[in-house]
Amino acid sequence: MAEHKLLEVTDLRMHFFTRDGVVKAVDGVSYDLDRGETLGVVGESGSGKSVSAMTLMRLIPMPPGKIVGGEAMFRGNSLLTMSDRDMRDIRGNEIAMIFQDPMTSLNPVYRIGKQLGEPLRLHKGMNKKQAQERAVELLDLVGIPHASSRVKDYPHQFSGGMRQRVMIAMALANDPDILIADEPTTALDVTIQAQIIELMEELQQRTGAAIIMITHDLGVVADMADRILVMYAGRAVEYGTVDEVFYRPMHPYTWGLMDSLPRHDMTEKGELCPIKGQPPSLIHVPAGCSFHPRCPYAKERCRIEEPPLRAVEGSHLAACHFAGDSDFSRDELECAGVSA
Amino acid sequence: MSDVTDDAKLLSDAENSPTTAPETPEPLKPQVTRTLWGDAWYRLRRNKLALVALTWLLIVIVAAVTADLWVIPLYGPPNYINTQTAAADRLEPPSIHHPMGTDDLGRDVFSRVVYGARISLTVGVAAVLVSVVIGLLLGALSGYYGKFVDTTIMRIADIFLAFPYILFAILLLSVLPPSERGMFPVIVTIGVLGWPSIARVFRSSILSVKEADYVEAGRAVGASDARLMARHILPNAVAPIIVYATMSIGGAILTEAALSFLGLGVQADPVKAPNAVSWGRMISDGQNYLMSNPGLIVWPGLAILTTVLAFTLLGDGVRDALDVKMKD
Amino acid sequence: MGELIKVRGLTKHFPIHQGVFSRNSGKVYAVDGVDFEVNQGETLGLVGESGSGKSTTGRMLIRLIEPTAGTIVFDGKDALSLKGRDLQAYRRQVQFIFQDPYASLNPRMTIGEIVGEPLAIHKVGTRVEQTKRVKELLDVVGLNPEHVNRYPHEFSGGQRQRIGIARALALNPKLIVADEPVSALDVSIQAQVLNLLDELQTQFDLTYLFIAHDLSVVQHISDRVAVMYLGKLVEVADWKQLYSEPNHPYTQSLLSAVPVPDPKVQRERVRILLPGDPPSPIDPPTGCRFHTRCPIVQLPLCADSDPELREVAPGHRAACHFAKPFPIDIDVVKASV
Repeated sequence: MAEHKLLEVTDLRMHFFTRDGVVKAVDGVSYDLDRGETLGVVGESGSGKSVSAMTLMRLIPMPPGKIVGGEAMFRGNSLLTMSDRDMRDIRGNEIAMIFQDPMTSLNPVYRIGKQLGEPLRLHKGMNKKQAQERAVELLDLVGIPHASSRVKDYPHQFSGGMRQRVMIAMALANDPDILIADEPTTALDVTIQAQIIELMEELQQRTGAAIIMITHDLGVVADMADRILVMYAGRAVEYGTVDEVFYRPMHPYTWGLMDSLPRHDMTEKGELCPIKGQPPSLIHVPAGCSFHPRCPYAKERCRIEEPPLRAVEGSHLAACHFAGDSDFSRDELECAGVSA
Repeated sequence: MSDVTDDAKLLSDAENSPTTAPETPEPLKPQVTRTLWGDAWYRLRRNKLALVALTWLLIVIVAAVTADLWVIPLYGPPNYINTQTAAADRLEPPSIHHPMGTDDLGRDVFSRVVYGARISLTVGVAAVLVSVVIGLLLGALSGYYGKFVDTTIMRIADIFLAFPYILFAILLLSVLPPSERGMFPVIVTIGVLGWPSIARVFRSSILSVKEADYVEAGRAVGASDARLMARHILPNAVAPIIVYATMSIGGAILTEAALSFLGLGVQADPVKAPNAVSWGRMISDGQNYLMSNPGLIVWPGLAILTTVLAFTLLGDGVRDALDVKMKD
Repeated sequence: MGELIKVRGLTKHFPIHQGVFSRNSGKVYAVDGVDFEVNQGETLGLVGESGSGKSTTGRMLIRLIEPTAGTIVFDGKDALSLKGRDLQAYRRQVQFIFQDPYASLNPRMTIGEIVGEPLAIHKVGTRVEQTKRVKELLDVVGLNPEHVNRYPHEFSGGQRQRIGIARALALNPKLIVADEPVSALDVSIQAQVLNLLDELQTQFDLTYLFIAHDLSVVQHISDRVAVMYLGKLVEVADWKQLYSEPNHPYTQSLLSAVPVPDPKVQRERVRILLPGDPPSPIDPPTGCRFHTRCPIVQLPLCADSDPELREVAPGHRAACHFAKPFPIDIDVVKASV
């Protein structure tokens, strides 16, 4: 019997049913995750990258949200259909999540030690003393100096970078198998970001946890990820190893993203080639391929038929009708220039 | 996000993108641009509870305004005591002739309730207007100039707020002889007691708007203080006041009722204003008949309840309608 | 071409008020003696992390914030002594673009009114001419002039930023100070707006002071780059020089910390990690402000003496006692306690 992958997500779809219409927040997301692996989920705002992770954790209010399709198997068990109680056992325990804004993710009226201890007491049944001791260990693990005295401090006494370390400590408290990090470094300064990334890599080596790193920053995933999932308008449009996606991208959106990135290590100034137009509203997703209005290669078929996420080269998947065709390649197109 | 916003964005997309791509979904109809106020009105209309409240208030207002035309012919005057029929007509239960029965002096209760609306509504709205005028002015000065001006005004406001509201009103009004207690003093009294809250709300609204980037942007392009205040700060700071004022009307009506219950409310001149009635006074007059003819208290009580509730619900609705757009 | 604006010793200390009578209980040393110039037609990138004072510096240039000390010379004239009409005239020449496309436009004004406001305030042309100019401006920034009566909330973030740019162009300024103009935008939209700014610079002969924290963006658009740390300027150089041969250890750390979207490069890079958090501008370190986190710090010199911004190569200045070109002679410094 084939061993279960740690996490298998297949064609996940979750829509919000609102008075203004159906928001197709997640509309076809598939990926796998192995132990110790880091998956980078990249996309711009509105791509659904954060929402899909929250859906996995069953943190989306239902209603107005509703899972309309797909599956998510964690060690062979369905995350979407298991009971609330089983899900609560997993959250903070086997699957942990850290959020973007460390300023607001911590409760300002409780001491850090107490907040760190919460997942420990909940899931591991530790008493107050044991939890406090473990909390100090964890603070030490994430590189907070003078851990034994700082454990009694309140969140406002920590800086942004420190708070994010505390969040990571909280997430790792119960030795989770999967750590979901939703834009963990976006709100931090660049030098602090580097510290946090280094910390996460180190901790991953030590604990063997798998990481799902959600970000809009392609530089961060180039650094950390083993595999990459590119999302657009709620759908997965490309999926492959980090080298495959960066050096042999298959989907025109990925091409567009790569072309619009400035890099600071270049010795000549390249031209920035932006993708024309705006990302679509998730209530009025374009028919057929959701990227077609902005795609310089779009044909009639793209307006009508939604391309499935299919294998183009081994385990490298792309959701484009023409990906992998011998005559379909990235043209040296004239840049769209400045138009909106 | 409303449909309009999405359509507007699609319209912009379609018109701005270069021609190589196939069209975006076609925009459906010519755009109706809505201002933020227009959008708020649109949202308010969709709020059932607020609509009900608004409708009820309109009914009450129209009824009160047109009362002379239909109430007296149908049900008789509110104040006039017909000495001949009084004894026979007194304390009758509700009937076709008297939908709410009659009081102990033979007067039609319904007629009294309708006419009572005049005083309650007038005092309620006018008093809040007084509060708003004073509050806006002082709140604006406080919020915009800060420092000494702010401290002074706010401390005065604190002093006002420290006084027990009703007691203060009683004090002010009992000083006047009954003949002087027309609408005006009552309105002014309630109004003057209400300004501190409005000033505080407006001040904090100004403080937060003042820091907004678009105000700085105005300054960066060379706008004067006056222009900044008039075009940028005030229009954006005024929204919370609308909500607060609407809800305060309910409070003012209650205060007026309480005052007239205590005998300190509007004392109308029987000659100049023969039809002046007050709901609070009705309740006070009907106390003795609580057990035997509860209607004398219940009808005016219900009138107060429904009117105040309507203003509160309307205020809630207005706040929800304005709130979402505030964030955008 | 020549200097358009020259800044010397620019300083801003914000007093901290506490207590009922607003006693001064300390100062935020936001900007502390900054010297630089921006030449006609060039783009000077001003880079720094939070607390560096870059935004405050930008705002002082257009006098949204009044400096505590220092001089600003614009086009040969002392900009800080201007009052009244002269100040208005100065405002016409130096304009500002804000970071947040959602907060920088008055939600109760149409975009036509917003873009036209500078014209209305300075009484440029008749009403008809102003309307025409507004439509022209909208067109120039890539928006549809027919949308002139729409409200900001009907536009996306990138479009709103274009409206802000149109407003900044209205008075035909010579210098535009752009405070993080693309930070709040998605990557694909960022590129559109950067290209737009580039084009406008050529079309209208503009000079930019481009303030940002994103080094990749700054590198792309700037001719020269200045790096700030805790209120002080630590390095100024031509963009190529700064990025390939940074002389100041902070610049070096900053550059190594920014991830490059290229896996092979990332794997091979050496990353310098600065320990701890940046100090607070309320209580900056003595001597060289960077010394508490510097990988090549030498006590007691660095704690006692604040290094001057001095020339280390033609057109290249750095404020470090031990400034030398990359790569510096140290091992990778881990994020230790």
